[in-house]
Amino acid sequence: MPQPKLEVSHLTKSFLRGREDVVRVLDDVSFAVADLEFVAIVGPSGCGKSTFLRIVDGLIAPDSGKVRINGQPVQGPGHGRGMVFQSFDLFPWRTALGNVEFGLEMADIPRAERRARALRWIERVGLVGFENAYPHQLSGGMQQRVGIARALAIEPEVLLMDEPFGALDVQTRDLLQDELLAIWQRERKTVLFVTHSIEEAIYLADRVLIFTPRPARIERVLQVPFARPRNEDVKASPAFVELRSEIWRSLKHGVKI
Amino acid sequence: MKRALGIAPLMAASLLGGFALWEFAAQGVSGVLFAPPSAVLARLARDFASGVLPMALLGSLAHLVVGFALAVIVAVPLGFAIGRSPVVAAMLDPVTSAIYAVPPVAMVPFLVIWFGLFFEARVALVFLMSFFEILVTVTAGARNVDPALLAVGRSFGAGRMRLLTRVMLPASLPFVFTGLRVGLVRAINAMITAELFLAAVNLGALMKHQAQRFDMPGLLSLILLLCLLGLAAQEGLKTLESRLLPWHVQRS
Repeated sequence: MPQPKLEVSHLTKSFLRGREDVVRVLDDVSFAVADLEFVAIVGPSGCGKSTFLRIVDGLIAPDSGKVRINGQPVQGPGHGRGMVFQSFDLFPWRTALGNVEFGLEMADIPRAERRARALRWIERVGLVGFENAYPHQLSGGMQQRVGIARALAIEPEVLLMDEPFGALDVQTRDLLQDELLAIWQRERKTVLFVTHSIEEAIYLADRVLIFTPRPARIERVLQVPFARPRNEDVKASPAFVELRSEIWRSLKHGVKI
Repeated sequence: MKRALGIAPLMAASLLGGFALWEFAAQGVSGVLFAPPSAVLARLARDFASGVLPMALLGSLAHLVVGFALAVIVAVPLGFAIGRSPVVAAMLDPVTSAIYAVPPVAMVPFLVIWFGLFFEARVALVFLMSFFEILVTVTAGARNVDPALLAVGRSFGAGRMRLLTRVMLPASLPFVFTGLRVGLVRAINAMITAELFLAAVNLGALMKHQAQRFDMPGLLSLILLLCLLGLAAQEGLKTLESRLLPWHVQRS
C-alpha cells in the first residue's frame, strides 16, 4: 500500500467532567486515509466524532497517539489541514472575501496574491457578486460556501469537515452535497467528513467509518461501491438502501436511548 | 436606510412637542423661577454671539478631552487584560469593583489635596468618573468573545498575538464603542461637576453666577447647552461606529 495521506494511530482522549469524573471520549482510534480519498465518519451524537476531528485539526491535543500527514507527525493547528465548521463560524466583521482571505493572511501570503486567490475561490463556490457582503447578509447555504472557500483557499492537504451541512435545510443541504462532490472531483482533495446523516455519508464518501458510542472506537469500515460522478438517482437504488440499513443496524447496536 | 427615514420625523416631532410643552408650562410662572424655551434659546444665541459662551465651553472641553482620553487609554487595554486573563481578573476585579462603588464626588476632597483646585484636579475627576464605565464594558466585551471564533482563528494558524489583534479585538469592538459612549456621557457629567465642586471656572462659574442672580434664562440656557453637547457627542460616536463597524450596526 502506498503511503497514506493521513494516518492516525492509537488516538486516545479523556475529558475531566466536574472535579474528578474522567470521561473517556476516544479509545485507541487508528486508521489511514489514502490520497484523494473521501472518508465519512458517522456515529451516534455525542460519541466523540467532533473531538476526533478537532484532534486531527490540532485544536485539541490527544492524551496519546499520533496524527501524521504524508508520514510526518503534526502537532497543533495549521500545516496542511483546512477545517469547515458546523455553524459556519465566519468572522462577522469580515466580508465574504475577507473571510476567505483569513487563512492566507495567517500564512503571510502577500496582499495581492491573497486577494487573487480568495477571489478565485469565491468564484469556485459560486459567490461572485457577494464578495463584499457581510455574513449576516448571506443565507446559511451561502455562508457555508464561504466556509468551504475559506478552508480550501489555504490549499490544505486534507479537508476536514465537521457536520458542515448539519445546520442547513434539506434542499440547501442536497445542493451543497452535489457542489462539494463537484469541487472535490475538480480540486482533487483528501476529505475527512463527519456527519450524523447516514445518507449523506454514503452519497459522498468512498469509505464510511462507523464510530461506536462513547468512548468512540471504530466499529466498522464500509466501502461504498457506487461509481462517480454520482447523482441523486443513486439514493434510490436498492444497493444504496441496503447499505443504509446496514449502517443503521451497526449504529443501533450499542446505542442506548 | 428605510429605518432612518422613518425615525427622523419621530425624533423631530418629539423634540418639538417637548419644547411646546415646556413653553406652555412656563406661561404665567415668575421669571425668577422658570423660563420658557423661547427666552432660553434667545439667550443661548446671544451669549454665543457675544463670545462669553464659546470661551467658557472651550475651557470646559479642555479638561473633558484630556480626562476622557486618559481614561480611554488606560481602561481599554486594562479591560482587555481583565477580560482575557483569569490571573489579572483575580487580582484586579475586587479592587476595581470596590472603587467603582464609591461616588466619585466623595473623592473630591482627596483630589483637592493631591491635585489642587484647578485644571489637574478637574482632569482627575473626569478620569475617575469615566474610567470605570469604560473598564467594565470593555471587560465584558473581552470576556464575551465567541470561543468558536477563537477556535477558527487557531485552526487557521493564528498565534497568540494574531488571535488578539485579528479575532478578539474586532470581536469586542462593539462593546468598546458602547463603553466609549457611556464613558463620554459620564465624562460630560464630570466636566461640570468638577467646575461646581472645585474652583468655579468656565461653564460651572457661569452657572453658579446665574443661579445666584436667579437668572433663569441664563441658567437654563447652560443646561440646554449641556444637553446639546451630550447629544452631539453620542450621535457623533454612533456615526463613527456605523462607519467603522457597518457589520455590527446593520445586524442589530
